[in-house]
Amino acid sequence: MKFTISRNSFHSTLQKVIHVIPAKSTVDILYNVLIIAEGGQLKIIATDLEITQVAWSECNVEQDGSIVVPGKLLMDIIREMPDLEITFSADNNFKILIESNFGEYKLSGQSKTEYPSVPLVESDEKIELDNSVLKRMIEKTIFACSTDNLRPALTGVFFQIFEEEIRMVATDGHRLVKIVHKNSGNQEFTKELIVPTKALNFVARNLPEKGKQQITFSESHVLFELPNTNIYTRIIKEPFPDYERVIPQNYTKEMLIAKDDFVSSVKRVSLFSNPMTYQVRLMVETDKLTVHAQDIDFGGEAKETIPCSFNSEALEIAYNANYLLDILRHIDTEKIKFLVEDSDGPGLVYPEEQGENEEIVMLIMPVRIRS
Amino acid sequence: MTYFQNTIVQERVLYFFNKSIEQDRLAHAYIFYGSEGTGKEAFALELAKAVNCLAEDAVPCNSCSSCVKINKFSHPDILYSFAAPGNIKDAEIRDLLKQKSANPYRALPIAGHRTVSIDIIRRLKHEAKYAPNEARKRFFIISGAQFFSREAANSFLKLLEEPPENLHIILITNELHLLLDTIRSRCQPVYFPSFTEEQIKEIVKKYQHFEGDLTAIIRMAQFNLNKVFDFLIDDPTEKWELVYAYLKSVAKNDIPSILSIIDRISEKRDKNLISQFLSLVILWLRDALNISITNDEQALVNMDYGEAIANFSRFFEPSDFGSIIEKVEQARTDIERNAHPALTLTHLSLEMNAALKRKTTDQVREEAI
Repeated sequence: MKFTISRNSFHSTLQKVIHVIPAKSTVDILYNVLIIAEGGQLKIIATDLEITQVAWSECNVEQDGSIVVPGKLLMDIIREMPDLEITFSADNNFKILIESNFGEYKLSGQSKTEYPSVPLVESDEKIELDNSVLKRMIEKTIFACSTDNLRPALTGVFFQIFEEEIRMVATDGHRLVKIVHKNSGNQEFTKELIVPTKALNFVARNLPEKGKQQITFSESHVLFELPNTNIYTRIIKEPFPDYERVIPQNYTKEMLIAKDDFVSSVKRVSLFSNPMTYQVRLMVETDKLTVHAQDIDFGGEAKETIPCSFNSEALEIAYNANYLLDILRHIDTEKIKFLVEDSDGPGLVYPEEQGENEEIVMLIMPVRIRS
Repeated sequence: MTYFQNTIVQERVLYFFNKSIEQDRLAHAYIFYGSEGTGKEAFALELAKAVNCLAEDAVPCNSCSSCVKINKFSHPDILYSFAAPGNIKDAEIRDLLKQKSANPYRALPIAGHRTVSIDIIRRLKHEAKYAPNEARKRFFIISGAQFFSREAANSFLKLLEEPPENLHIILITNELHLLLDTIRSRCQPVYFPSFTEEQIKEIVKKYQHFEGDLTAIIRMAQFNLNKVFDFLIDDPTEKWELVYAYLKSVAKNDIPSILSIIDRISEKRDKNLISQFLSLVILWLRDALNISITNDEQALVNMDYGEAIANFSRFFEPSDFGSIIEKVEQARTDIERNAHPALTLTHLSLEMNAALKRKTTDQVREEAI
């Protein structure tokens, strides 16, 4: 194979996929990238067996071919080069020659046959989403995923594609986020699947601000088609819990509170909470909210009062401050609607007004207060 | 479609898996057991190749991309893990895998305390939650299953009980009885008997260039394929010389010479070396017993020393060899269980000397006629 390409486009193509290469693996071949030159195009593929990313750019191909090259080494060479024409060639014995005006670099590669194949995603089940919508849905859900491998289904974000709307749900058993994008239209199928968080992080990182992108679903993989790059990810094949049953429908007690006040107050007070439990207590009254934390072991204690409005008699409830802050930070509106029924039941957090075509619900489980 | 045409494997195993694959009734978990050097790991890989091979008639073809990847341990859905020391580095694992891929019939050269760690099981569980990448049927192969740590075994049970679809687990062990009952009862055991001499010769031909006759080496290795490869790389003649010298000194009760030989054997503080030495002593005694009864030098394990063995059995009472072999075996077990090597060997030498009964000159002459 032989092709010439400018350093900058080689670098930016390689840069896209290089993060997929695992930092630590027992499978030797994963430290490599697969380079394919054909039809005036350079394609670079990297995989960690969970995510496969393909990136491409235009180049001048003299001879078609493919080769497997140590990824980090290649990146290190290209990164340090100024913007020049680079000629990349490989012979039948997998000896690689990289030439530029400065000089030449020789390294050895491997045959393509040993490299894990790019997943085949041939399916009619496709949806199209605005980049901004997808990015937003990923950002709002991904933080709530579990990292506990004992419950594999919770280590990903649950996608539900209906004819009228697209839902994404994430939970780790302590909190839950459901975000619905309505009126996404043109769907002819319904589908439910779990996408691993790692892949979604990659997608969010590679998403440009504007435009639309296509997502294709097959039995075992999902394909995200982004500009000049494709991301394939495996699907978690586990049943997702019936989350609808967890979200209570008939809550009447509602607190309305300014988000920024609430967040910074909880942040300050939680510094004094027990470092094991991060428990903060909220005392909700009709016109004020008292945030209280105490660390009995070290004698620290903090208490703050901020204004709010609550439509019921006083109630005391306790949360893990970290979970609470995580949720509050992901609400965009100035005021937060906080629904709670009693001190043992889940709390529901809504933005004061839902965005256009959107519905967000966040749920947080309380810490039981000893009485 | 024919299976395993080019695979060298014990007939009963071949028959069993031919049937299972044809009827599409592969079990979700197997235990391959049998003594060392019976090609269990190699066959586990062959099985994974056969089921996933892309060729259309004879499988495994060993040339399609699926087979090549399995051979090189780079297939994303065929995971091979093995019991290893807890602090093993990824680079070492990759190195060991390269050796295994060069010759799957050789045992991995791992010294020291080995476990199947919880990390290995975590990795497998992590992998199991996904849909397969490209394989029709996924295989998780765990070698050294007798070395499961307690946490690993318990964590593994969950996967073993509810494996996802099209996932097959193969546990490989030399010692079936050391596995937890809870694991053993959830797998189908498959016994691997020793290879025949022809099979060993054929396999050796594939992986190692060797001129000359393998028969002697195969007998010396007692049909243990792994040992055959050991002996091919590390010539045993020197060791036989030592055994010969040792037995000579014991018979003569030449204490200084015995002690110097014992020093030579135990100076490297390698238990395996000593146990290998004692195994050779046992083989020698077995040969001597054999020749005293059959008088057939062709049947010997150690054909190079035929004459010396014949002489040995001529001068000593063969009826005592049995009890001596027992003593040597006891010493070998003791040393494997961390008895002091030099002391045990010295004690053994004195005991052997006391047990060896020299025939009278008259007896020898009589028998010679």
